[in-house]
Amino acid sequence: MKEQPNFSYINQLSGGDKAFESKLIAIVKREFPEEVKEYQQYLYEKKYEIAADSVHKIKHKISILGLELSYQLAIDYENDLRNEDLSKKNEFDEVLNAITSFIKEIN
Amino acid sequence: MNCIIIDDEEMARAIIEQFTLQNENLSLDAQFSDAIQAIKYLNQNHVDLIFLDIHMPTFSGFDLIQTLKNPPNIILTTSDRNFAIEAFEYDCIKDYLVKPVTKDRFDKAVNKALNAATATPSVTNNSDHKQEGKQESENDLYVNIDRRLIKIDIPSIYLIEAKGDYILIKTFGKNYTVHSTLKKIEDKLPKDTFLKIHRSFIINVKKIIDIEDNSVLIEKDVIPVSRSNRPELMKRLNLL
Repeated sequence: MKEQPNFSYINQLSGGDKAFESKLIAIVKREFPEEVKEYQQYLYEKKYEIAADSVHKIKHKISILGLELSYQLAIDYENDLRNEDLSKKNEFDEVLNAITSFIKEIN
Repeated sequence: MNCIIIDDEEMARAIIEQFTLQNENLSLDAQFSDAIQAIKYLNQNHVDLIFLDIHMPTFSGFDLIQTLKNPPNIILTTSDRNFAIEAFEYDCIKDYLVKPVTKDRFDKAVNKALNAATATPSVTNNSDHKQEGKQESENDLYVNIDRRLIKIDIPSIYLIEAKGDYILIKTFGKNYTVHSTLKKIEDKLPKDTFLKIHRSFIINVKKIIDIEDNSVLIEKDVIPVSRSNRPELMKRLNLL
């Protein structure tokens, strides 16, 4: 079964501080869609080095959402992109889709 | 210890901020998403510790460290493990936190910085220290390139050429194109080492390889010597 986004790391960070939890979740909800859009645009324009920078930003959010395996995938994909290797693109896109669905469900 | 956070990611700043608030040894004074703003702040305020992201657009954490004359203690925060080796080349870097950062690891890094701060000798020869600092600053020249302040080691400069509104500074490691004039840079360079030998050229006299008629060979560049500057050049040489 594939790993699913979760709040375990955010809960661990907050130590029960609900205001801090809400702050982090609000940042993820606001920034993640923008960063994905940016990444897709750079990829479309074949600006792979800058697309890799976008993956670099996104991967921190992947880790925040407790996706350890996907985080490793993002690290590899970021490096590959800098060498114009897109072989992990589909796998990475699946992670982005999973997070996008997860975020939509958060109130 | 008072501290600041420099990271272009809001999420990363929020996490480090939370950890600093939970650590009784730290007082968070400011946070920056942009290294240039941070440099301005550091030039005007005393800071004991910086939490510094390496991977930032246009101006990296390492660029920032190189810009500071006396960097305070620094804890790097990054998603890349690959920079660890480079990090150990800087004495000011006390630890290296890989994101996502945990509270335990954060506190451990802060303790390292605290220990380093207390281990610093409290008795120093103030005048020697000042002298050392003065000499260090006399050997450095900061130039503004694409909004970055880049440090150039003055003795490594062998040639400066005027190019319209710009000057080309050649060193043994790298060349720099800077928006400035020969006159401005001439005023910043030690007079005993650098000499204007032509309206478009300043050379480091110590780096001359040979002189032939009205030209000087320096590194791989042949530079013309104007008639009016030739007597001063000859005066500077240790002629047999």
